[in-house]
Amino acid sequence: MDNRLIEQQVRLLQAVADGDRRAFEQLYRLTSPHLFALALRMLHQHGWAEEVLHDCYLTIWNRANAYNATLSAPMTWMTHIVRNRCIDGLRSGQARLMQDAETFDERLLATAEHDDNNWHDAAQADRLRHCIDHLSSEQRQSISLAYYQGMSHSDIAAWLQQPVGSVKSWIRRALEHLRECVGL
Amino acid sequence: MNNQQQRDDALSAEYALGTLSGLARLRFETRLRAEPTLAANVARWQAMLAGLDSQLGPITPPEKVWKKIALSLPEKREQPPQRRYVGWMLAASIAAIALIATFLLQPPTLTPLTVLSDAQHREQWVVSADSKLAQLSLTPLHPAALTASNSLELWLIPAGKAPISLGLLDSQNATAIALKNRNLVRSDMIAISLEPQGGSPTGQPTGPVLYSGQL
Repeated sequence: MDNRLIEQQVRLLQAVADGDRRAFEQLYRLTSPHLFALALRMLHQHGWAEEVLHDCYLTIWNRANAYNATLSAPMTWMTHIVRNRCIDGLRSGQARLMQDAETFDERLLATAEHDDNNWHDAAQADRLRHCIDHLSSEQRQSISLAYYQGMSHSDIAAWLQQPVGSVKSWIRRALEHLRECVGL
Repeated sequence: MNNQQQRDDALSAEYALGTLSGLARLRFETRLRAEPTLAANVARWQAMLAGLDSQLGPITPPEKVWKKIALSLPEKREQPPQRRYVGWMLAASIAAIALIATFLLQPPTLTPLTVLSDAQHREQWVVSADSKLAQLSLTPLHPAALTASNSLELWLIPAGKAPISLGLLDSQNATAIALKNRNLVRSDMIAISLEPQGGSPTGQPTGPVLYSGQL
């Protein structure tokens, strides 16, 4: 994990809490490509992802003083804001309203490791990948659909054509396994 | 870990993963604001699961997104340039005003709880709640015209109990409904019935139930 990058983002976020617009623009330039990719992956629609990004940065501006640097890195905090907003959008039926909108090209989401994607704890991310490989395929699929697509238990059940109860227990066991295996 | 800690850890994990349902999520978020150890546990899970994003390639959003954000930024507490001792009173009052302004400018964030559908799944209502579970918002997705002699009435139906009227709905636009200390639980049903203009004369649903769903 690049600590300097995290420290820089913490400083920017603290300046944003004080109303510093220039710091806010800098924070936006640094972080929006990652958050935009995340929103696109969950929503699959360019226009919608842009709207969510807009709303989320206003939330970041308004709530920067609620950010607690002792709890999490700025990217973790901002990722949470974007994921929650996407999940709310997906569960509010907006997805169905936007069915006719342009479809998103999944190939845009390259899966190669990126140099500037380094606020993650690389060792923990490796460990997580290793641990996920040990899950049963149902558990792995359920976790992926929940995390990457923002699906609810019942969405996953419908997608996999399995009972909701099974999906719930796959997810519960998968998370228990990850806690033990990653060593949380 | 004792049982309570295990339950809390399971909730933290599902919250970080995104699979807590609307109502469970709002309740959990209320606890998060009051319980620092729970918040720390959630942060650990979020940081761990963020590893799932470590291979996501960045995509720069179009420049118009930033332009729009910059235009819609509300004014916020600017630091006074020189804070001398006489400035403290001024600074305090500016901060107080800015705080109120920020509070007023922030629209209450609503979390969807459920989507009510009619039998044909043509028309739908999104039921959302504010973070304190003090207010519901009912939004029609494909508003349908209603004759002048009818009203739509919203009902809360606790399991095994008689329906409680929550008030009338605007058939075209979002309606805010105050919950007045009523506690929502997951087994509650929520339903919209077609009633004579002004609502049910008996205090119980009299017309057909057009939309219903569970929280």
